[in-house]
Amino acid sequence: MIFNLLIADPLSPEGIGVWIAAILTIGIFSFLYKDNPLFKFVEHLYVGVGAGYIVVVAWHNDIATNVIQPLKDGLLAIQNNDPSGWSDVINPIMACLIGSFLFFPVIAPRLRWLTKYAFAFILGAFSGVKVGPVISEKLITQVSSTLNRICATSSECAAQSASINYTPESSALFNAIFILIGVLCGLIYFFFSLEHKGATRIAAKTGILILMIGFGASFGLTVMGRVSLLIDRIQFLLVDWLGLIG
Amino acid sequence: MNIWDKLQSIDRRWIFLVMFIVIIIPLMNPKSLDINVSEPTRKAFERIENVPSGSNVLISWDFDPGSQAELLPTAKAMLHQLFEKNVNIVVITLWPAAPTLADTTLNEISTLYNKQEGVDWVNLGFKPGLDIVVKSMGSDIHEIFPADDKGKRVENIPLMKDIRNYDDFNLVIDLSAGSSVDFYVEQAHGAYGADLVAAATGVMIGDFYPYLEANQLQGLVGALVGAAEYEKLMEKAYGLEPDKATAGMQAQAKAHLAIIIFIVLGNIGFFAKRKKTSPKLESLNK
Amino acid sequence: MSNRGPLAVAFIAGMLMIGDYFLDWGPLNSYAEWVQKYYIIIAAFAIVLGVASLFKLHLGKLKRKEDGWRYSIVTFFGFFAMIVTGLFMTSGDLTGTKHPWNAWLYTNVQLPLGATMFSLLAFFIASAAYRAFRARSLEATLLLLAACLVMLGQVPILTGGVFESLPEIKQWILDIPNMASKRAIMIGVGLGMMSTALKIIFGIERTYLGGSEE
Repeated sequence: MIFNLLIADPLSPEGIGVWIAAILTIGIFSFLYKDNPLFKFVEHLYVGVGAGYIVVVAWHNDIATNVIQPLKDGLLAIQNNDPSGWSDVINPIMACLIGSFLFFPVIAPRLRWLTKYAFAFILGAFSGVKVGPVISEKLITQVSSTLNRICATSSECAAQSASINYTPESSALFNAIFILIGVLCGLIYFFFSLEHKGATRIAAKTGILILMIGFGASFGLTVMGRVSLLIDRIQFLLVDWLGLIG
Repeated sequence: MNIWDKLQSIDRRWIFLVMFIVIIIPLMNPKSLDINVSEPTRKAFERIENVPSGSNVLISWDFDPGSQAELLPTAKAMLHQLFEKNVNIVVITLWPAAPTLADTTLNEISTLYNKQEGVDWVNLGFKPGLDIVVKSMGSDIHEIFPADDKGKRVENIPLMKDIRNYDDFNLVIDLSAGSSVDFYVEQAHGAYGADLVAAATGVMIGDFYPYLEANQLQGLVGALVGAAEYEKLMEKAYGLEPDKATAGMQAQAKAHLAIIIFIVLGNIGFFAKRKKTSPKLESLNK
Repeated sequence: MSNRGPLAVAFIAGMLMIGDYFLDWGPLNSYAEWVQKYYIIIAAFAIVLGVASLFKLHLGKLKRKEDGWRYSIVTFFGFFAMIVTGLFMTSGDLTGTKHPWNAWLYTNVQLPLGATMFSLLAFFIASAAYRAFRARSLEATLLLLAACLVMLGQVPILTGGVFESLPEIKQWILDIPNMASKRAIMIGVGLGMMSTALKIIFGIERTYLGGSEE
C-alpha cells in the first residue's frame, strides 16, 4: 500500500474544487443507502447546471457563430453596397424564425400550427440524409461483406476481386459459414409476417440462439463499461481527494 | 426460511457494499495485470501510427462527463500518439456537454509537447445536427464551423487555412459514447470515403463489430479495458507511462469476478428452490 | 388546420437531401447545403426547447409550492450560475469568450455529478445480476455463458491451464457470433430506418404532425 496522506488542501483554489467535487460525489453515492435530502439536492443541482451549460454552448457554438456573426458581416456588406450581404442577413433570420416556431405552443398557443412546419423541416431533412447512406453502409456493404468472407476462403474466388484477401486457414471457412447462417437465421427470426413452422421454425430457433450469444456478449461488455465508470469515481476519491494512493 | 430463500431476499445494499470493497481493495493495493492487447485495439493503434507526420486528423469528441471514465483515457493516449508524431489535430463535437472537456484535455496534453493552439491543434466546438453536421463537413467545414470554440474566426486560424473537407484529413477518429459512429460510417466513410477509427463505450462497442469486419472501421477501442490495451501499446512504442486505465484493471477484473459469482449464486439458489418446490407441485396435481 | 403545408416542407427537404446524395448537380447541391445550414441553426432551438420545458416544470412547482419545491430553487441556482458565467460574464460582448468560472463550474460541479450519476449503474447491474439473471432456458443459459466468457476474457484474472485461452475465446465470441447477430439486427434496423424515412418524406407517416387533420 502506498499511503500519501496529502488530502487536497481545501484552502487552495484547486483544493476547493476537489473538495466540492468530492462532496457532490459522496452526495450521489448516498442514494445507495437510501433516498435522502443531500441526494435530492445534488440531483437537482446536476439538472440545473447541465441545462444551463447546454444553453451556453448552444449560444456560443451555434447562435453566435452561425447567426450573429453572419448577420453582422451581411449588414456590413450591405452598407458597402455588396448584394451578397443580403443572403447573409436573410438566411440566419429565416432559420431563427423557423426555429422559434418550436416555442409557439408555449409562448403563442394561437400560432401553434406553425410548429408543424418546423418539425416537418427537421424530420424531412433528417430522413432524407439517412436514405442513401443507410442503403449503402447498413445494407449493401453488410450483405456483401458476409458473402465476401466466404469468397475469401477460395483462392479462385478471392483472385477475382482486389478487395478480397484470400484466407486459407481451416477456421476461416467455418467462421464464414457460421456468420452467414447467423445473419440469415437472425433475419428470419425477426420476420414475423411469416409463420415460424417447419424449416422456418428451425432457422428462427437457430437465429434466436445466435442472437442470445450476441446479447450475452453485449451484457458482458456493458458490465465492463459500467464498472469502469465506478472505478473512475473511486480513483478520484482515493487519489485526487484523499491522496491515499501516490 | 432456508439459506437459499434468505440469500434470494438479501438487501441489495449488501451487494453494493461488496462491489465497493471489491473495487477499493485492488486500487489500494496496486498490482500489475498482464494486459492482453486485442486485435481491434491493435488495428486502431497501427492505423494511427501510419498517419504521416504533418498531416491532419479530425477527432470527433462525442462523449460527456457521464462517459468520460471510459473514453477519456483512450482520448489522452491517442492525443499523446498524435502529438508525438507531429500530426495536426482538429477537434469537433456533436455532443453539447463535451466542448469544455475537450478543451481542458487538449490544453493539458498539448502543453507537454509545446503544441500551439491554432497552429498544431484547434477545437472547433459543438454543432447540433448529428448526421447533417457530419455530412456537411464533407463539402465545406468552414461553412458549418465559421469559428472555433472560443469564437475566433476560422479564416484567421493558420491550421484551418488548407482544411476544407474530409479530403484534407488523413484519418477521422470518433470517440463516441452514443451512436455517432453510425453517422460517421454512413456519411463520412460511405459518402466521402474517409478512413475511420473509433473508440466506444462498453454499452455500444458490440454493435460496431459489423463495421470493423466490413472494413468500414479500421480500428475499434472499447471502454477502459481498450484504453489499458492502448496504454500498453503506447508504453511499448513511445515509453509513455501507463495511466489511470492500467491502474484500474485489477479492480475491473475483481469486479467482473464478483458479478459472475453473484450470477452463479443467484442461479444455484434458483435451481435449489425450484427442485424443492417441484415435488410439492407434483403431489398437489395427483 | 390542413397538414398539406408541413407535408410539402417535409417532402421538399427530404427529396433535396436524397437528391444531394445520388446526384452531382450544382443547383441541387447548393439547395441541399442551404437546407443543411438552416437545419444546424434550427437544431439549436430544438436543444433549448428541452431546457425551456424543464424551466416550465420547475417554475410550476415553485408557484404551486408542490412537494419538493425547494429543490427547484437549487435547479434554478445551478442553471443561472452557468448562464451568468457563460453568457453575461464574457470577455467583450455577448459573443465573447466564456468566463473561466464557467469552466471551473463544469470541471468541479457538472463533471463529477455526471460521472458519479452514471457510475451508480455499476451497483444496479450487480444487484440485477444477482436477483434476476437466471438460466431458465437454453437461450438464457447461452446468454449468461457468453456474458461470463466475455467478462472473464476481457481482463484475464484467472490464468493457467484452460483459462489461458479465455482471451481468444472472448475475441472469437465478439468477432463471430456477436458480429453475426449485430449484423442481422443492423440489416433489419437499416430496412426499418429506410422505410420510416421514406414514409415521412412521402407523407405516409404523419404522427409527428399531431391531430387527425388531412
